[in-house]
Amino acid sequence: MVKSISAVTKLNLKNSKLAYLIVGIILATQIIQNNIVKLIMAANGVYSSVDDVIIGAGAYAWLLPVLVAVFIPTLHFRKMMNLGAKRGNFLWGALCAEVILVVAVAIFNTALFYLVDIPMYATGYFPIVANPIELFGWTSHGMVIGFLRQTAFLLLVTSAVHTLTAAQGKWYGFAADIAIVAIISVFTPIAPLREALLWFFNLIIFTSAASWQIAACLILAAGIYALNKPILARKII
Amino acid sequence: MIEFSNVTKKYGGLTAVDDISLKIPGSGIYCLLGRNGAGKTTIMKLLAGHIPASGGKISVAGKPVSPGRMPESVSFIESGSTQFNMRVGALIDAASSLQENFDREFAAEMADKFELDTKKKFKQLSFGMKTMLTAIITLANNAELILLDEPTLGFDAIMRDQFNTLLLESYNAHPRVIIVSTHLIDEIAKVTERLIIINKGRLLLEVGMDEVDEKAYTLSGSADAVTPLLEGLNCIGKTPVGGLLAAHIYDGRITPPPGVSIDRMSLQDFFIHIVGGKNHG
Repeated sequence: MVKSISAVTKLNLKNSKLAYLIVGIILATQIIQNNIVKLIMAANGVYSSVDDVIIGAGAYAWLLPVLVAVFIPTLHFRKMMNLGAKRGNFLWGALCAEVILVVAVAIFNTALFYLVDIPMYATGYFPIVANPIELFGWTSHGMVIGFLRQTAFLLLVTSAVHTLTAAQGKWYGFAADIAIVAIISVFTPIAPLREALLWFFNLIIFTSAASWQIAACLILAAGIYALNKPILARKII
Repeated sequence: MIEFSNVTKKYGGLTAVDDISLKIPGSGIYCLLGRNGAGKTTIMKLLAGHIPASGGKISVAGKPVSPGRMPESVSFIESGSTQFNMRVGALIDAASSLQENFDREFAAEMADKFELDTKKKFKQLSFGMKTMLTAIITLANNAELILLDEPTLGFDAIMRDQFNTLLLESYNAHPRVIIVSTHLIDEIAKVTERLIIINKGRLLLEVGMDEVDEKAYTLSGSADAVTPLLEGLNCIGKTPVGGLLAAHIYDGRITPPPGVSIDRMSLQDFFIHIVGGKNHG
């Protein structure tokens, strides 16, 4: 079983080239535009306005696990079955691949934030570099906690995207889509419900209690991912 | 080994499998025959747990089958199925890692025998070679039940012959239930032991090849000489040519009178007449 799960994981990672390409192009253009061009300009005495705000290039890497979470249930499932994989092993292998990518992306973004964004901003010659890990207050307890909070949040987003994608085409998928739209559109204008929505987003993103945020994201991610078991059991090949 | 009890499969208003009951007790090579759209692939998908039945019960090796409970003992890959665009060798390695009972050596031997270029990527393969790869991955699994859906589609005559030989070799090495669906009827007759004929989603006949050899024959002669012989016989088709008549029979053998010849009916003719019914004869 471990061998099979490991094979599913490797196949998922190996065959996500489209996601790597898309994110690679976006990252490259952002790094060139935000960092390299501005460095060249600064070297020639042309400085950006310090009032400008740019998004840290590393944040664009967040797209990678999200894209892969879309591709695995849509493009990889049938091919994996055609190679003789079992549904249970597919589920675990998909989870492993997504966790690996989430951790890798969190490391990449954290490293880019501390090694490039902060030093560049500190010179005073460059615009403000906004990275979600700082905007959301995740780095207020240091780099390691910032990395962990980012990882937990990305796992939640990835599991939600994977599960929603896997459920599309079935009534429960459409029901979930409608429920999400309904919650946002109904909750937002009604004050008590809006408070509940704010409380939820505060818990999974903004709270200063890092342990609560990490625990909430991981528990929710596990719960949402567990829904894939009955979804997969009903998926036809 | 396999039990179908009143199994029905509906796709919206279309009934693809209509109340089929069937038992396959033990190992052997079985041929699933039927016209296009008869329900062959649907039966295979049901057996593999790829799709749920709309009604009835399916069990393989005593265990119920459904998409939530895909049997470990079944190996099935639909013909024309897509694969990751990886090198053939890498795909075989991946299948070997994914399947517990995969015979890597057998797969390599088959790939070599069929001159399947293991360095080529899946999309670079011809249609026949893609089918071959699918057949190899399915057959290399030593599961108790192997389902081959049109395994020789796109093969030339030599490849088809080689494939049938390998099918027998594989079966002799690991006796199990192998169900093959095909349109190349006479070729599969060389290796199959039993026939399962379905038509419009219903089971028409489940019979041993020896019984078909014995009971399926053609009486030929003048129409006046042949027609009286047909009384009491199960005539499944007639081919009149001028004053002559060829009557296709599926029944006990008779001793024909002088002027009437009796010939063995090919499996393809037998299939055409038994399925074609009124349209043939």
